[in-house]
Amino acid sequence: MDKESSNFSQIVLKNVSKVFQDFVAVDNINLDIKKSEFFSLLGPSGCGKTTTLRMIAGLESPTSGKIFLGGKDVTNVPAYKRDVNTVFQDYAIFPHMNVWDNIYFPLKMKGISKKEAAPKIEKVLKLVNMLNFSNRYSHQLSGGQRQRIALARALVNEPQALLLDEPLGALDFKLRVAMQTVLKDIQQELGITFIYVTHDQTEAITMSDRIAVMRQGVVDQIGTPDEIYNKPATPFVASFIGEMNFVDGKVVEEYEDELKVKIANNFIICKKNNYLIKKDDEVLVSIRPEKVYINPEQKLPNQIYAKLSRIVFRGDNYQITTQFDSSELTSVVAAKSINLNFNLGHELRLGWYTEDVQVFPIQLKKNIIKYK
Amino acid sequence: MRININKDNKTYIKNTINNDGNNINIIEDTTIILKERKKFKFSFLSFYSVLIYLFLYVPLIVVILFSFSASKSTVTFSDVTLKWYKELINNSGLVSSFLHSIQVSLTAVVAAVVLGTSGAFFIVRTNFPGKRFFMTLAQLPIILPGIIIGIAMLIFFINLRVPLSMLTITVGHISFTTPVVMFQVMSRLARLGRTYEDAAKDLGANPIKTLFLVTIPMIKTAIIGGALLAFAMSFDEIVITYFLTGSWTTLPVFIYGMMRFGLSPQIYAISTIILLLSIVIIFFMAKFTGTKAEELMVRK
Repeated sequence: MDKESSNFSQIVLKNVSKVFQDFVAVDNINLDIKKSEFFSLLGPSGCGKTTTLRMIAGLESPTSGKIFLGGKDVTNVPAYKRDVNTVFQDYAIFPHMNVWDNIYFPLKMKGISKKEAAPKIEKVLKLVNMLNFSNRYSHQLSGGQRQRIALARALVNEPQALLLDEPLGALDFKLRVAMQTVLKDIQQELGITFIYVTHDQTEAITMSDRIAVMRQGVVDQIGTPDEIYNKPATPFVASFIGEMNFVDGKVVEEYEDELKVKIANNFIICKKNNYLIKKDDEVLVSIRPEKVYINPEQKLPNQIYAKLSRIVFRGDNYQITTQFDSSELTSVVAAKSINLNFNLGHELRLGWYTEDVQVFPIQLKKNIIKYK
Repeated sequence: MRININKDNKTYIKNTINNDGNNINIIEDTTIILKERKKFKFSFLSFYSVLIYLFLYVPLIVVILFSFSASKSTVTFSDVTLKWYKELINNSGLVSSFLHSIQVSLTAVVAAVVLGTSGAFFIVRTNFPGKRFFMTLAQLPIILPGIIIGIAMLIFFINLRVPLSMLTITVGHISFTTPVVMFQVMSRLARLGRTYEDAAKDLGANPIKTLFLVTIPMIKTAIIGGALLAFAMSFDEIVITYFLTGSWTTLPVFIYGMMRFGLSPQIYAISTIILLLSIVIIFFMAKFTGTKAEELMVRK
């Protein structure tokens, strides 16, 4: 996809909030979604991502703020007049119409005759590879097939943006992976803006051009999958996506663009970021397990010594847990790359590069997602 | 765990959760569960059930049998005859009250469909303080004894100086046919949820088109089922009608009047006709309502 020509803002949300009775579902969010972008709203259930999507669709109206679609203010335009279509979580294929009539429905609403509609319907059915199913009813289709029909129905009017509300949530793992490819291919073929709501970080990372990570109605970070993964803006984002080590520390020295942090009896160097962190502040330090090297050959900028406490074989890699004082660090190493002739309790030298560490104010520790 | 028996009746799919917490389908041989189902044990419960069925149906069967008996006696059965049915047609009072009943029931059902369906939308789709209380109030005409409703309405109409007529009877009937339709439609609407309507709006249908092209087709069978049930209830209603009837009368009230001169085979004949009519209506009603019917009928 040509990124340069697609800087046009397709959908803009300005200070949008949604309050249900006394519950704030969406809290003053700002989004700027570009044309032809695959944009994901990622977050745990109840974070406001579906409400945001429904406001873009026009199925909910924002309590405050404005929504722009293709440059026009659509905040007060009802759903049926908005040029966006949705693939619903449970597909919502009308059970009293067959597949053909389901796909004809949005065209019929535009006053297009059956005759004119036929080639368009054939085109989208071909696109989703369901040409032979036009006489079927919803109950005669499998989950994956319903998904394709819902997609065809939402695409037949060639909307400015396609909104997808956890469309793969109900499918089993293998089908989900297959459908991810189908969706991504279709998006690239048609060049339509996709807004994709999901709680599945892997799905968001693999499919999206950009991701907005949401937590309790606010957007914690917007960025490319690479930025979200490698430069998480908050401990929440860091913990929600992938595996992450968190260690408490204290700033002992402040340099121009680096901080010296004391972790237990070790000193490490972290790069400064947008947070105002000063000398003597308590901090939370995070590092991805695969960025922690065990007994590295050359000397790395940050090194600590820790005792081996657990080794777990995970097929293509080992998860190695080490302990120092009261803290724990896990690292992941490729299965072939390491000699594991260590006994538990053996002291290991752990090292990592300065740019792989993030440092956050300790107050944000409460936002870390803990599984189990 | 959920079990679906396949069409061949030899295997079934068992939907269960495996050790990893995943939903899986297992295909198994049906002989095990089918055997389980075929077993019939004679027990006190089955004996008791038979007694109940006898108690319910023997009187009905007697009525049907004696409607074809030539003798006027209700004790001994003589030759088979249709003469009582023929006499019904010549009984002008009976025929006109039958037509009255049809007229009242049809009017009450049409009113109930309009009022009940819109009421169901109101209750399911809006939230207002005292909603539960309002729903209870709406059910009262079905729950309260007919005699109470009858007397209350009689007092109401007399105070308004409305003469007892077809109008008063019809209004009386609408009071209990409306909640019948309303509660059928309500449960369907609640199960349906909002997704289909959201989808319709999202695809460009304005609220009116959404209503007529999506919502009503999907609740149609519940409306029909509710209407049939309401018709069956209205057609044989006697208590409320009795209070609200003047010289213009319906079939059940007319039959009640006939019985003052003793039981006659004519009454058996008309009862048999009403019974058959009710069975037909109930049969269709059962087809249109309930969850299973919903799955089958909504699609058609």
